[in-house]
Amino acid sequence: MNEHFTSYTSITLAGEDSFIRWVRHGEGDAEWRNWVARHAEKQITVEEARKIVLSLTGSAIGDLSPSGKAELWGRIHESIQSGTQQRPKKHLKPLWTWGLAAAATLALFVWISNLTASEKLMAKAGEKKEVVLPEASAVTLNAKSSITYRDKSFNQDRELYLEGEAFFKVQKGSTFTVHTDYGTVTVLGTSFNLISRDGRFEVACYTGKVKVESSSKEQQIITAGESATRNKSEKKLNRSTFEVIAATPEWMEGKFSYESQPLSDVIDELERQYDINVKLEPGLEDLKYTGLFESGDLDSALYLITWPLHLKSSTKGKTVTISR
Amino acid sequence: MEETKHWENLKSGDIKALQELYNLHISGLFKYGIVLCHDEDKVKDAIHDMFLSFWNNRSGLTIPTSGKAYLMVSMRRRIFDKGPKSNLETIPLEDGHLDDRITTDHEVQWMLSEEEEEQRHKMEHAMARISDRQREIIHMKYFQQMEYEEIARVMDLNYQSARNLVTRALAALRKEWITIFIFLMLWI
Repeated sequence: MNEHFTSYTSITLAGEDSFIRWVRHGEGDAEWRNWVARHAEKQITVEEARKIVLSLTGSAIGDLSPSGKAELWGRIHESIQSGTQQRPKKHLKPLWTWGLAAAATLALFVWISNLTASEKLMAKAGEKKEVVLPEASAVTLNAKSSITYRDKSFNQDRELYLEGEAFFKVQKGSTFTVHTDYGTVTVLGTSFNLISRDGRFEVACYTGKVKVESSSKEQQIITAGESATRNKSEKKLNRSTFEVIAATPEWMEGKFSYESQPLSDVIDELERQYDINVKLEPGLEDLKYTGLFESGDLDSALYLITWPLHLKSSTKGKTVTISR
Repeated sequence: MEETKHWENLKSGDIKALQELYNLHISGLFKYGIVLCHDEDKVKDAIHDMFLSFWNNRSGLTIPTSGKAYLMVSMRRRIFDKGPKSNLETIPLEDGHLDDRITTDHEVQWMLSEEEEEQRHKMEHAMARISDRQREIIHMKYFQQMEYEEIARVMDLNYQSARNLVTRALAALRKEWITIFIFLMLWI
């Protein structure tokens, strides 16, 4: 640990890379705690620097929406296909929808020449990934999730395979099919969230209409504000409603909320979001948790999960232990 | 590194590699562009031109050590080269053109509690009062979590000047921000 930090103010400390990494990702936690313990007079400085870093985590600038990203890629792609050297002066927006159909045909020529059989895109633990598919549908992958598709024929068959959780915003067109281990989802053009993981299969429709077929061939058609769930135990599809308060699910904003759900489910999500390994004291798995945590700061997330249940947690590197 | 592979594939004419790079960087690049000029159309056009030019000049590309810094330098040049920062040329908007931003803001509002909303509001105020360069560097250092070396490259500074600029920016922010700190202490 760098001893000249003792001369730092809260501001210079908040600009120090190793300090930022400690606050954000818990890197060098033991050394920093040790250093703080040895320099009690610096405690207020450190606390203030921590707050500066923490308050500068979420940017106020809105990101481009997934459809905005898909559209912009569509424009770039069209310019490439038409051999444009520079952007035309006039705005392309009304034209590119036409262009896309032509581009899709042309694109096949380009793609056929340099393709492997299938394409797998994945978000690792602690990651979230936004993907624009070749035909401009947008997919956001939650942590530890992947999609696989045959990119040679994707523009025609619009079929892919999902493991984990993802939110889909599908461009209008021919049928778009998502295969999973537990069932299949078919749509024309709509947005929906799909979870297929550890025996759980859950489809939530945000706009339009979605056809759900479980692996046991049971079919349901759900519309906006409805979801279809297949539980681990009962293999039947259960239909329920939810309130569509935003155009996208909460997890896309890094928020995870629960209402009376088993602690083990909450911990599974926490592990994926922070790429950590949680050891839960036996007997705690089935405690019911109501509350929310966010991605970004592991300490606050742990605090928000443990305090309502009167539990404690201790972190050592990438391992967290939760006990009574 | 995976990203280097995409740049290499792009050089050899793989359009999917270009799309991978687009997917990888679009969020960061868009937000950075907005910090520079507050004009969504201009930022989108710059991104369009940038990726088109990568494609058209792919064989002569040098593979960057930091793709992010490389793209940001390009964004910076494109935004600043096109005349004055305050965007005087007004382009008539096509129908539905503003949709993206309006929905995003709308969604964001749903997500925020009143307190968070207020905090963000204060932060925006504070951010608006510091200088352009200070705002730019705070954005890169904290919101995009970039290393000083990368930031220095983008802003054409040396390492120490980048560090000093962050310190000055934080000091300026803090001056504007006392109320937020008090708020945070009550909150955390």
